[in-house]
Amino acid sequence: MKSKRFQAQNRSLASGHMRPFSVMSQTEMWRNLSVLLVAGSFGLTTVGCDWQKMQEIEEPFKLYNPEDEEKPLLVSVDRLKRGQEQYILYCRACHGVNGDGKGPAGIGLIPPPRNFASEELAFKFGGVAAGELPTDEELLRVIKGGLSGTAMLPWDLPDETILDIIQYIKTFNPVWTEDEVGEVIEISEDPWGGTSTAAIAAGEKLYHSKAQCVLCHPYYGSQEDVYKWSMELTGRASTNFREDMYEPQAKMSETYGNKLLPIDFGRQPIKAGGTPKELFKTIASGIGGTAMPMWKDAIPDEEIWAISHYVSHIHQMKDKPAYKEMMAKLKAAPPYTPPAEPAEGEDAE
Amino acid sequence: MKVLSISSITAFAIATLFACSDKASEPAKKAVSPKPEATKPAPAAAAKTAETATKAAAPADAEGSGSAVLSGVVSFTGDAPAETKIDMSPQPACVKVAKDTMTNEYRIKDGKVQDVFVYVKNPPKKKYDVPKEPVVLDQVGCRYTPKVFGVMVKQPIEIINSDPMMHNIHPLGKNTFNLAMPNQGMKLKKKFKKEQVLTPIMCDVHPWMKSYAGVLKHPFFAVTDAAGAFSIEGLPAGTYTVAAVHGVLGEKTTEVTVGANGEVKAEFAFTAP
Repeated sequence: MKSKRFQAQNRSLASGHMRPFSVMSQTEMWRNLSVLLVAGSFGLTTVGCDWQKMQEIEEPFKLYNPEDEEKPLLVSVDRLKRGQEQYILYCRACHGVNGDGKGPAGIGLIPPPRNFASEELAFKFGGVAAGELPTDEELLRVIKGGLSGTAMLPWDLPDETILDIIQYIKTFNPVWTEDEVGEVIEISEDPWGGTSTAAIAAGEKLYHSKAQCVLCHPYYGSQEDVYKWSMELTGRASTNFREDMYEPQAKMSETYGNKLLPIDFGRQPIKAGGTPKELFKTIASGIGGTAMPMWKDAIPDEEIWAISHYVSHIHQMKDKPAYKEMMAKLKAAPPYTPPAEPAEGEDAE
Repeated sequence: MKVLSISSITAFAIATLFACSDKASEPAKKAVSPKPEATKPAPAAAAKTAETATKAAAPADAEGSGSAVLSGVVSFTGDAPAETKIDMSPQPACVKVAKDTMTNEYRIKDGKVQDVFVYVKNPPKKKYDVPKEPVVLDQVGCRYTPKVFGVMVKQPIEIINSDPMMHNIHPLGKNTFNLAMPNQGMKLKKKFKKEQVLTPIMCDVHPWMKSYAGVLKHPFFAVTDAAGAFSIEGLPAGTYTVAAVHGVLGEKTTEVTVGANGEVKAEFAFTAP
């Protein structure tokens, strides 16, 4: 699904996530016909009148300099102005004139557009430890690739233009002046040499037991198998299954102030991409502001890779009859009664 | 289709331009980097801290070292709010290991409040040495130990998972990170980068788990014990604003003046929220 804008737009429309929006600017209106088409096809409603209240850029923006705290790196006024111009054109409709995610076209979007001005600023897919500031390269990747299943389209703009916009976006939040950018999470060589039956099988066990992905994400295995995998990998019995074990568990996000539903890989798009490599990056880094922690160094890279292969495998079954059959069979299975546990005198619910 | 879209957009755009032209020109220009309001929902006290700290009188002694002792007791007036029992049943592994299943939100006993973070808001401005000794935060019995702790910016924090299950360690706000700790006995070393009173710490797997860290650039802080008592040592002579911050009850402040080598008391009393 590495697609151009129109495919993404259609996908979003089909999945019902997109709300009408319109993008325009007094001087730039004719510059990008495709944007107008996007706007046109979404219908001509919901446009705010806030677009002219842009900040006047009078001085360079100070970026934190990790080499010398006293000497910030400067982004020139010219570059900020270029970025602002493009921001007005492409981003403002949803992300808002003040970068607060409250643009007229962003109203009601789920998930809501990123609030760049928030004191709780957290980028979800920064390629750095969850919660850290992302690199320009990662922001560029997200903007160019879009976020599947959301209103964030893949933007087919020149890198230089996007990088200008990225510099401008930083002016919404003093955190960029005060804090350093996070260290990039390294993507190691895939020790499995690509997706294989062995990698998927290893990932399946880890997903359901040691790595406890099932605390938030759905199970894709039977109670009996999960029990066996848990005993094998952790030596601890997994005998307590929530009633809705085949559904994801909503988790409160204090950062975003609402409950978030973890992805069901068999039914939903994966925002930052569903290839093993993309999944490795997301799992290793964690997702900023959410319950999804950083896994790098918590378990060996080899295991993160195995889980990535497995999740990617489940994701490839999405919407296919084989997936529906598998899930129907799992859901119809009677509860598993494990062998008697050594008595500990504790209640096991 | 394309032609239709473009022409309709144009018409709409023009209409919008006219509709908006008058009210759009009014609002004042803003600086390039507007500082977001320093408001933090949890805990509310944190925002106030930053605000009042700057207003408080500058301390007399600019040396930053001394030997005065500030001590006192944090008490609670009225009937203590009841603690409730945590329902750990969705996480049976916790039911097995938990020793304490009460919420312990208030920690009030005999009118004294434990786990209140007490600190000096306006110590002499200087660079203070950061201890190399780590503060230890343990996850044991599906709870955090300690519940409240003080730590200096960039001081190491050793985080331990003593439980036979997965926790994730997830501080919020300025000092946020989120790390998976799937294995029993796992240890991590982390540092907080910014001053924040208090940084809440949570586990998304077990949402009842809560700890609070008072993170400061200076060492003039303490956490009250079971008798509600605290003691802050090594203060230079001066006049200080002292704050007592409780994870749920909020913040109380008072002013004290202390001479060199002197001793001074600060008393705080919380009431029901």
